Amino acid sequence: MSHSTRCAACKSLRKRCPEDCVLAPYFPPTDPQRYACVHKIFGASNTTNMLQQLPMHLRAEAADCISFESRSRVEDPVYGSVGIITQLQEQIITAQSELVKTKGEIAFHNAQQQLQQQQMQQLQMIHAIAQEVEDQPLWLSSSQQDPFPNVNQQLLEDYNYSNTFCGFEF
Amino acid sequence: MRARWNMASSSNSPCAACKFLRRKCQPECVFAPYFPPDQPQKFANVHKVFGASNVTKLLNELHPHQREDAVNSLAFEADMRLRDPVYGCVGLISVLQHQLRQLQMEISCAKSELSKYQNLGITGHGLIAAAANNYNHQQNLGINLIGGGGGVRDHHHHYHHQFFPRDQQQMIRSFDGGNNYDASLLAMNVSANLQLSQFPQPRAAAGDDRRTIDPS
Repeated sequence: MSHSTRCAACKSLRKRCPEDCVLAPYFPPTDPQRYACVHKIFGASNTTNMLQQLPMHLRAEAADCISFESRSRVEDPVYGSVGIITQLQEQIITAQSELVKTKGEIAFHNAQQQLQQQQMQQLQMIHAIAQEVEDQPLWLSSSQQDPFPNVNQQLLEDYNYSNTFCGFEF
Repeated sequence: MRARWNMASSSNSPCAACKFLRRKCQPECVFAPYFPPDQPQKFANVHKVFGASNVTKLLNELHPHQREDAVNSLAFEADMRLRDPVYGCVGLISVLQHQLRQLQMEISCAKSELSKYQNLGITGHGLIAAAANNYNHQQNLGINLIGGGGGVRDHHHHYHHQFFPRDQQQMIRSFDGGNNYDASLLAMNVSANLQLSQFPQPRAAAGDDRRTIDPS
């Protein structure tokens, strides 16, 4: 018993395609180029051996990967898939340094912003203190607050009198 | 490895390929320069995966100066396929592609975050200096901190995707944060409820929530 239509592999090899052809499920006659690359790079017997060693449920994936590798090698006979790997590694290195650089810039801006906030807070504090000083006159000229509640009031009055009379001198 | 070195060695001992194939190693052996006798596993792997005749055909199609790199890449591929009979090299390619996509997403997020700082356009030194120099205790005016000068910069187009195939570029663009930062939105987020002293200079560009306290 054989397939009604031969698979791409058996067609390429010009032989009958048996019912249990290992390659038939993965190399349909509708895509002859796929098998042509595989045949050129790996060869029919190597491909068959590679697929036969695998359980059925993994063969489709393996056939796809073998097909990809052989196509890469046909397109780039010197480096094949390894060329793609090298290119990806270079791109990763470039991306990593770009990421580090961007994160560095963010950290810089973060630090700058924090510094600005601190400075703003300090200015606010200064302003608040100054405002308080304005709103609450110095105790020397105020008669409403007693900043020194424990001091002998008589002494304080004498002091105030002398400064008021004589002028505020130091 | 150079051909001269291997020509000298092949006259003494067969190359790894001829040793494996149990044949006489001729002086013009195509394998000899690239499969030294001290690396038998290299040819064994290549032979098992690709086959000697296929490798011969491949090498004969290349210039001599390309053959060493070709053999080394074939040896690498063969080794990968023997380690992973299902995915071979493609497994490693998938891993690297995934890693690259992750990095690109991180870069996109980071650039988006960075653009927020750059769009603010706050020159902190100028602002602080102005506040410190113009301190007096007369009036308080709300100062609206709006990103001036720089405005909205479109970082979107500054990011070049020349290394990546189109589908990756599409995916990467979709992750790029919005750079069209609305100035009024910015003003609302950043506007100061700071009660600082009056600035004698003309105020910065007006925003929606500028607060003005009548001095009197």
